[in-house]
Amino acid sequence: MKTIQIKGVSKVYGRTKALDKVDITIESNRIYGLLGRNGAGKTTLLNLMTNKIFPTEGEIVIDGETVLENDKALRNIFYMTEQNLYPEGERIRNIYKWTKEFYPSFDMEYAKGLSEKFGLDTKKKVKDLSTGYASIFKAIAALASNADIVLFDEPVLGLDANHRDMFYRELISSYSESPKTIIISTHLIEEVASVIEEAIIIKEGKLILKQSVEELLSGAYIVSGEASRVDKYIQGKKCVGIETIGSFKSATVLEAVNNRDEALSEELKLEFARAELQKLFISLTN
Amino acid sequence: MLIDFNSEKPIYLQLAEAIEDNILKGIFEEEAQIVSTTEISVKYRINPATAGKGVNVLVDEGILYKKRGLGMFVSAGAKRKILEKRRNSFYEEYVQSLLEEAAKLNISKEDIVKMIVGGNEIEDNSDKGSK
Amino acid sequence: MNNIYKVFKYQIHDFWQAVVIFYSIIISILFAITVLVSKNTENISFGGLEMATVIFLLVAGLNCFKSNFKFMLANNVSRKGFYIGNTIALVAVSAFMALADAVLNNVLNLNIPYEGVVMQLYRNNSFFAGLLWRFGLYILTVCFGWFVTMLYYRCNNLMKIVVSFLPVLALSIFQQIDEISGGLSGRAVVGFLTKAMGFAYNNNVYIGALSLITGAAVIALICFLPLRNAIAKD
Repeated sequence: MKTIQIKGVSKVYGRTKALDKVDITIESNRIYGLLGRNGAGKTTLLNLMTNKIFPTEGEIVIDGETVLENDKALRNIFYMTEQNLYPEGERIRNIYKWTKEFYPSFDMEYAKGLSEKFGLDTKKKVKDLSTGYASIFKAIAALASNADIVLFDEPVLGLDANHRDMFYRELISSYSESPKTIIISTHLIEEVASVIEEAIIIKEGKLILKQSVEELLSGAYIVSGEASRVDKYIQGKKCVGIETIGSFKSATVLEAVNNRDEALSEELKLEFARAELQKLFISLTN
Repeated sequence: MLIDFNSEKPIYLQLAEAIEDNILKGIFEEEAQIVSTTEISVKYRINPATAGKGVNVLVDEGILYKKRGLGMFVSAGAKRKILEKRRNSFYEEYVQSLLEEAAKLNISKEDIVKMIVGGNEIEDNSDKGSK
Repeated sequence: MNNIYKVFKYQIHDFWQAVVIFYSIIISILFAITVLVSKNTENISFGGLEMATVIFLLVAGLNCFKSNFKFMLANNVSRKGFYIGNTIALVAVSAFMALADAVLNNVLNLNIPYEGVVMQLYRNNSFFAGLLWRFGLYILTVCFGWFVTMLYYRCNNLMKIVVSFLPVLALSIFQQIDEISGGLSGRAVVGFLTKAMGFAYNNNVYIGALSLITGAAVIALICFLPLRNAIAKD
C-alpha cells in the first residue's frame, strides 16, 4: 500500500514559483497521467517526489515517511527522467547490472527481452544512442525495475510510432500482470487517454484537476453537423474546442452525457460523439 | 471484437457486448476460458481496469465466472442468458425506433409487415394520407 | 544503510580498473629500472614513486564525483548515502595504495638504492610507519581532489573563474603580509608545518601521519557542505 502524499508543496526559484501549494494524494496501483503544458511544473513535481530537488515549503510522504534524503522511502520509486543521468561511457547491459544492484527486484530477463523486442543493442554505450533509443533504454530500465512506484517523464520522447505503440502495450501488460503505481507525465494527451485511469492536471504550478478519465469524459460530449444547426443546439451551453470546416461544425459541450438533448439533436439532424481528453485539457489549461 | 473509441458508448460496455457476441458466435464456448484481461487490455491499448470492468459486468450477470488462479470462464447456459437479455432489449433498441422512423416516412404497419415478409415493395401512400 | 554499501561498491568498481592499470604500468617501469640499475654500479639513488600515486589519486579525486553522483541520483540514492559510501571508498583506495606502495618500497630497497618519500623525509624505515604516513598523504590528496571537483560543480561560470584565481590571490596576499610582518608570518607557517609534520619532534613519522589524516578528515567534512544541496547538472 504505497500511498504518496504531496502536502502543500511549493517550489520557488528566485522570483518564479514553479509549484504553488500543491496538495495531491496518489493512491496505489493505478496509472495516472500527469498532464500540463510546457513549463507547468510537471517535471518539478516529479523531481521533488524523488529527492532530486528540495521543496521550498511542504513535504512529500510515502506511507508516512518523507522522501527527503530518505533512502528507505526512495527505494520504492523508480524514476525515468527526461534528463540523462546515466554515465555516458557505460554500456547498457552494465547499467542494467548496476540498476539491479540498487533495485533488487529488477528483472534482468525481462530487460533483455524488451531490449531485443525494441531492437536495442545492449552492448552499446549510452553516448552512442540516438534520442529515441536513449528513451527506450531508460523506459526499459523503468519497466524492468519492478518498483512499487514508477514515474515516467515523457517516456516516448523521440520514439517512432511503432515504438510508441510497443511501449504503451508493454506498459499495460506489465501493469496488468503486477499492479503498481504508475505516473506518466506527458504532452501527448490523446495517446495516453485510454491508457491512464486518472488525470492530474497542472497549470502554472497549481493543481487544477485530479479526476478519473471516465468521469471527465462523462461530463462532456461532442455534437456535430451543419453549422447553423449546431449553433442552435449549443446556444446557452458551455462549449469548447469549436471547429468549423465550411458548413460543417463540431463543438465539445461541457454537459453531462446523460443530460444530452437527444430529441433536439434528432430534430436538427446532429450527431453525438465521445469527448476528447485533449480538447478538454486544452480548454482547461488555456 | 471491435471497439469504437469515438462512440459515446463507454468502452467497458462495448467490451462486454463484444465478449457476448463472441459467446453467441461460439468463439468462446461454455465452460471454456476467454482471453485474459491482460490480453484484452494490451490488444486494445486500454487500461486494464477498464477491461476488468467490462468483464465484471458479465460476471455480475452470471455470464462469466472466475476460476481462481486460472482466469475467466464462460458460464454454463451463458448463451441462453445472453439471448434472453438481448431479446428483452430487442423491442426497445430495434422495434421501437423502427416504428418511429416508419411513422415519419408514412409507412404503415401493414407495409412494414409486407417488407419483412417480402422485401422492398411499398406503395406510395403519402397522397392517401397515413392510416 | 544498504545503499551506502552499494555506493561503495560502485565507486570502487570505478576506481579499480584505473588502479590496476596504474600498478601494471608502475610495476613494469620499476622492473625495467631494477634490471637496468643492477647492471649499472654507479652511485645513484632513486626515490619518490609516491609522487606518481599522489598524482593518480588527485586525478581520481577530481573524477569521483560528477558522473557518479548523477548515476546515484538516477537510482534514487540520497546525498547522505553517496557521501558516506564515497568517503569509505576513498579511504579504501588510499589504504590499498598505501599498502601496495609500502610493499613496493621494501621490495625495491632490496634490489636497488631506492629511497621512498618517508625515508627521504624522516630517515625512518619502519614498514608500519611508512604505511600510515603514505595513507595519510594519499587520503589527503584524494579528498582534496574531491573537494576541488565539488567546488567547481557547485559554481556557476563566473564563480568558477573567481575560484580558479583564489589560490593565486591568496598566495600573493600572504606574500604581502609576510613582507609587512618582516618574515614573521612566513616563519609562523613554516614553524606550524614543521611541528605538524613531526619534523620538530625528532622526525616523528606518526605525528606527520596524524596531521595528514586529520587534514583529510577536515576536507572530507567540508565536502559535505556543497553536497547537501547538490542537484543533477549536465
